Amino acid sequence: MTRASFVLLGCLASLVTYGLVVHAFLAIGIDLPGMARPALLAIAAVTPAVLAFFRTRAPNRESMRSPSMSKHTLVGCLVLAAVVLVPIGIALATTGPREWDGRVAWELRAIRLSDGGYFQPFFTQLGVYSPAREYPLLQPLVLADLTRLVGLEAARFVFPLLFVVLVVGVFGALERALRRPAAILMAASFFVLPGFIGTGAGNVDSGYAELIVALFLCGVGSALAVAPGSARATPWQTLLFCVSVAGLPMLKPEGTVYAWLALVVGVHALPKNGVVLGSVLTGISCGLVAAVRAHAIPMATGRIVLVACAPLVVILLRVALDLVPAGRRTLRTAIIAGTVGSLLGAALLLVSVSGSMDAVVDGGLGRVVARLGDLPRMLFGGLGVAFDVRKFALLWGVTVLAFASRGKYAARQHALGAFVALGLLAAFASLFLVPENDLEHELVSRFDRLLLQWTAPAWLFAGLRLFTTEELHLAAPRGRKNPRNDIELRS
Amino acid sequence: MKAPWTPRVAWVLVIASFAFSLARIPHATWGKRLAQVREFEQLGAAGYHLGRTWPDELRIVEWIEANTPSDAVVLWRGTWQGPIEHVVASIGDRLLFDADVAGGIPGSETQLLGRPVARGSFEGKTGRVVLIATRESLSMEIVP
Repeated sequence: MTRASFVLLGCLASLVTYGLVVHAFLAIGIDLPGMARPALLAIAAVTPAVLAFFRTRAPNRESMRSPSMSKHTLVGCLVLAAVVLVPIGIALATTGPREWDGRVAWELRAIRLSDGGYFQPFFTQLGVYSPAREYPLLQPLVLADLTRLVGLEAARFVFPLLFVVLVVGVFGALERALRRPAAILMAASFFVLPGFIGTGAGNVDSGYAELIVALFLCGVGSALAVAPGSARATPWQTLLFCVSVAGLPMLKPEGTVYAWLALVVGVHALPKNGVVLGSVLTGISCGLVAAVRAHAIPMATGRIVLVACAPLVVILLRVALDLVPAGRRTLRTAIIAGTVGSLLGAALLLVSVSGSMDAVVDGGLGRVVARLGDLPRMLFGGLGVAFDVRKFALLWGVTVLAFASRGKYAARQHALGAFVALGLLAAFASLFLVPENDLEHELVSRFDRLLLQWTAPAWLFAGLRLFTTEELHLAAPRGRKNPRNDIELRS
Repeated sequence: MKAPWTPRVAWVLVIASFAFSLARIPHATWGKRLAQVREFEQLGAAGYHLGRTWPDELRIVEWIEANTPSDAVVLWRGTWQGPIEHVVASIGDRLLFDADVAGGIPGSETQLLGRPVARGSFEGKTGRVVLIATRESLSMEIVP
């Protein structure tokens, strides 16, 4: 992994460590008093950060052999960062979230958590009006504890910080396979993506959770990306994968679905130990989120156990795949495809029974069938949203090109490509569940945010697939043999 | 060896995407955002989120803030989506409580969750305040 990827790993490991510990206390009915939780956040943040710091002092072995960044490039990047981040900083320092859910679903919960902790009527009494009561709590908890430490206005600056880590993470993954100028240009293009730095819902200072979901999906994408000269994920990549999938269920309801998709794709792309660790951590994460939610929305213990154990199915899948002879790729692929479908259905079901998405699942199968007639409208509407340059510039155009490209210069990124494709499919499939009269609204106010979450892994996929050059590919990292060619060299 | 057309097209798209996004920064990142900030500072949080679209609902929020204790429980019934979402974020430490659920709780005429139930005089009536929420609007009733 490159130095930049360690920054991403350090950040995600901090968030997940903190999230799991706090959720574990909340699950057993203990809300850490006073400054104990902020102190825990600080410790969780400092430890991986120190590790990442020492790691980043080591030679940057896995980046491509390009000269260091020139002074001009560095100055250019800093100027661009200032031009983008200064207005966001001004807005954060002077106003609260200016978008709907950023205020009522996300920051309001953080303020309440900061004032009175989790075990107060706002969260635990069903009679009390509490928007997004069923939503996971990691982001509000982080904001609440930072508020206790430094005040709400300063705490809001965590969002641009996470955005910088996201861009650094994108750069880190691209740096492994692209020449540095190309990686910088790709990362800079991502940095100025209108969806994040503009003024709509989901942007950096909107208070929404799209940014943090994108950060964790970037972690998964970075872990699944195959570096030139290596056929399998490195141990650090495996660790990055595990913390990323473990964090997703603590962010938003759809995070559970994404975590499952990542695990299923990881079955084929990661070492067995990584699959086992990732599944166990995801199971713990899902179980803790459900147990904490059960204090607010009553849920039988059996269901919590079911939610926690469901990701372990992925371990069984991995064991089953190992039993299939290596040559029978069709059978292996069929098993994976069948499992993806069933896991996705199971994930949606579990998410629904655990209290989330009730509003959209209420319609049941009948609504899905009725929606088939709306398929053209959904397709064209979805494409219209994806290709809205005011939100995504040409990001999805480049991604489509990456999926369509074939030939000797198209680097193999099967796992990352499958992850992005399944994620987009899941986002689109969610349109089948929304009420009929809400389709137009859902397309422009929710589907666009789902796409925003997937921008980082999609951009990674596009960059790595289209711009990994043969010359760089053949330069395997020092001390490691090139076990498999990752570029199709048919001609 | 001649390179295929896809990477070239892709680079053109990436550079075009970068250039387009850069070109939008003065308007979308600076201009619109600072205009929002100015409006927010002028109107306040409740005015910005409620007042621009629902001025009558903003007046209800202001009435609640002026006439009920800061830790009061305000009863409500109706649809959970709509302006009511911003009301809950605009009334400080007060809580909104489902009026139908409250009806089954003994003593809820005066107290709920150890807090006073919001009461007041409005349009000639005196009693408990109940907010009636729809997706498009919010109204206030006074019940005995």
